[in-house]
Amino acid sequence: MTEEQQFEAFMRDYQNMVFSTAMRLVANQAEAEDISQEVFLRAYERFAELRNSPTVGGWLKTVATNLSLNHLSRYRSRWRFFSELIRGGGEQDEIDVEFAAPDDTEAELTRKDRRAMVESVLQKLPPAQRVPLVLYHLEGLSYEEIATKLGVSLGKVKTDIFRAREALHKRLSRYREEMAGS
Amino acid sequence: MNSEYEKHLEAEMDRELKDLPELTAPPGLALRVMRAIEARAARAPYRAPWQQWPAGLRVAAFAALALMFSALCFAVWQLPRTEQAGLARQQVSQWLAPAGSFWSALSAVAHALTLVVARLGTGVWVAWALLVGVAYLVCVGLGTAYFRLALARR
Repeated sequence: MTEEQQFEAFMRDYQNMVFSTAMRLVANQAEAEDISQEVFLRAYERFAELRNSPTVGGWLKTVATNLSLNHLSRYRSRWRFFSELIRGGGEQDEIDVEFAAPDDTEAELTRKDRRAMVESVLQKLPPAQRVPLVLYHLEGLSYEEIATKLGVSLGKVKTDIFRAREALHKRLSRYREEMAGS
Repeated sequence: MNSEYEKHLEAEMDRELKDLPELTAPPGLALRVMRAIEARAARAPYRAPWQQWPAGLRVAAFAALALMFSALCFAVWQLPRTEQAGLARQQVSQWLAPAGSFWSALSAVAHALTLVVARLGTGVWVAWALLVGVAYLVCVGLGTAYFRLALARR
């Protein structure tokens, strides 16, 4: 097996993880693909040391996260400005607090459908909310680490994550209601 | 904000998000990366970033650049001392003579403008600055209202 073939096999093992990380942060398939390509080109340069490393998954995830954040930082001032504008608008409506126990409707809703819906809602969130939410829940970063990475205050990170959770919860509840009604 | 509500919300969303499976990478990604690797390998060494050049080539390139810079510095130092440089200076002065009259005309216009500014008085200029400021604020306000409405409907 040549080195190229070994790298191709290595890439096939990790491409979904790298692509998912980039896609959930940038929410754009073409950009996520470009970022994934760059991640693997960097991995190729260090393939000799990475191929047997037990932390290769973490390395790839970190590089994918950093490249995605670098990509987003080009537009950050824009989305931060707009996120501040939205803050005073309709998104601030009080949300009904309901954590219903799993019922028949929930049981009917297949797990696959629900995941697809969560994924879709996640990608429709504004970047100012989606990025810290993904970094917290999926990348396992603390609020402080997110604040440092994004160069924003701790308070803003907490508020944005809270709003993202609320938006996600609201849309999930709406979806459940629609499913119950149909 | 109710902290119990926040805890429930965090737990629920954590469960939902962690339950998400990995997305499937586009089928062409691996091929695309392999092509990029081949293209990189095939390109001329000098087209690679400088940090990736072989060490010998980097040293040679650095020495060549240092030599060129030294030659340029020496030339700049020596050139004004030559006879040809004096002749060239005279030639350039002749070429630039028409620019002198243009400069005089420009100075006269600038002087006239300064007189106009002095005659108008401070009040007019303050009013003008206020008008520009108000126009700017109106633009910002309208832009803000537009984006608020446009994004709130998404």
